[in-house]
Amino acid sequence: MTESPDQQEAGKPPEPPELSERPEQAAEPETLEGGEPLETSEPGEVELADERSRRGSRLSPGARAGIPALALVVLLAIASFIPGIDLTASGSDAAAVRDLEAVVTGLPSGAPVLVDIDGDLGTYPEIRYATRAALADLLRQGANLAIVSFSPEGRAIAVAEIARLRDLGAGPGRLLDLGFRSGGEAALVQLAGSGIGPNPTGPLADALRKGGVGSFHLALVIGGADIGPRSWVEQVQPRLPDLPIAAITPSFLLPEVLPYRGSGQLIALVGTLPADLAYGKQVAAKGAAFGPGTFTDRSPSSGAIVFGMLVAIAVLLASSGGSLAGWARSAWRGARS
Amino acid sequence: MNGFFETGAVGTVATWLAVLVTLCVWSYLVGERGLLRIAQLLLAGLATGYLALIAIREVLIPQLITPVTSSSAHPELVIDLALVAVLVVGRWLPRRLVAVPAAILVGGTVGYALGGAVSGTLLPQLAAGMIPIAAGPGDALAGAIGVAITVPVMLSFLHGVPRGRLLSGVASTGRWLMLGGIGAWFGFLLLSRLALLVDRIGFLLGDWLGLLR
Repeated sequence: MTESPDQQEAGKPPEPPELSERPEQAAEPETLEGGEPLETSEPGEVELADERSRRGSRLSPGARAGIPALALVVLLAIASFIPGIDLTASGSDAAAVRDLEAVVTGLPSGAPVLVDIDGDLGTYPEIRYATRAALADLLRQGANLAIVSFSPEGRAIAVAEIARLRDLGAGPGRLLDLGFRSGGEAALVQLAGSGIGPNPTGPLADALRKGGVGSFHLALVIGGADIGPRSWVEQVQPRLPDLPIAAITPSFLLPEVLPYRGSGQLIALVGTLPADLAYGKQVAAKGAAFGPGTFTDRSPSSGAIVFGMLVAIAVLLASSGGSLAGWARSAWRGARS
Repeated sequence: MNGFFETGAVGTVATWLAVLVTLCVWSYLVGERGLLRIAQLLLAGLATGYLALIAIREVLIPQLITPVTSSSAHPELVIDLALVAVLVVGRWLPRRLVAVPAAILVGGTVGYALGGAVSGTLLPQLAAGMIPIAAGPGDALAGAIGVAITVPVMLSFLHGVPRGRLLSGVASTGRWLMLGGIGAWFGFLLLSRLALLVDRIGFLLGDWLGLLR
């Protein structure tokens, strides 16, 4: 964010941009509480502003820009001492893993589970490991999976995952492909109201048609595309309040779905790479089939993670190196003068 | 690494193709735009072809064409077919005629979204935001912080009414808090993209070069 010249002159902290403000409002004079217009063009006011500017300019722009970050750090430091607030990432990751494990372990053998694979092709690699771990864990637990997608990208991922699970030996009695449902949220509502429909075939499909959509013991939502955990909470949960919903999402969706976990609308939520890895390792420890290859082979290697971090830092430094050097040079000159 | 590729010759070809496309995209880092352009066009072409295939095979034929042409045809589907046809050739039809299916489409979408947002998000989140008195000090503080953030942010959307100094200050604070939230979201986005970079590097060093197995 950049300061306007007027703000820099006045020495005031920059005002954040008005969101969806009417253009004509900008031309209207600002009013006080009593509706009295503010007078800003008096000579005395200008001198006062100059005085404020001199006082405010004791801090350099860089230091002023760092004040919000410093305030945030102080706030977090204070909050970390308050009992009941867990700010450590490892704690929340461990809790997320525990939640999902408990949900899967609590399923009875043969329980039908509805899996919505609606990942985004661009972000799916982040949650691929956790998704496969969850599918492997569900199959190990004896659950029967019905896989559905509401986005074309999710369908592409679902087709690949279904083929992989079939190669691992999941037959039609354990794995049902419900296909792609067009219509977005309307299709979700239709699934919640009408069930799987007449098209799917096989013993699992017949059992699900007989028991209705209420026979599902769990809905596992793999998010990333337009239809994700939020859509499930908004469209399916009000219609099927007894169906628990768990979710695996890329980390960029966490700000959107974390409140649902906090309110209990999602019974489990795995959404960060450390949580993905931790969950996968827990499932691997149970000896779940994960193929092709062993479970460990499929996990992101620590070497790749370290190398990726170094590449990211190098790219950041290369892209901002010029401006950083200029800032350091001007700061050095300012200190000398 | 990603487990999508088979181990035989097909898998080898797929791995090499993926490596080539990855390197084409990364060539932009050294200023090469031609290869990136080829990769972009490849992605656009494949995505368009895939979407067309999905629309024809999994939507239009099984859900519209087949029911309409079968003996037990549903008459309401003929109306659906007519609405779809109007949308498809809408460019050459009067605007008022095209407005009918477009209005149904937009109205239906908004109706589902709004109803779900109220019953699935707004009301349950309001209920969850009400902290019981018996909760611990951490929950009480978290609730208070939540209220202290929510109120200024909502007031920052208050437009079109005269705002006093106090209200302006609160609204300005709300906008700053909102920017802080957007910054936090950007942090999550950066983390997500970093995970993708790790995956690609793992693919190149593991699946392709075999260094990280």
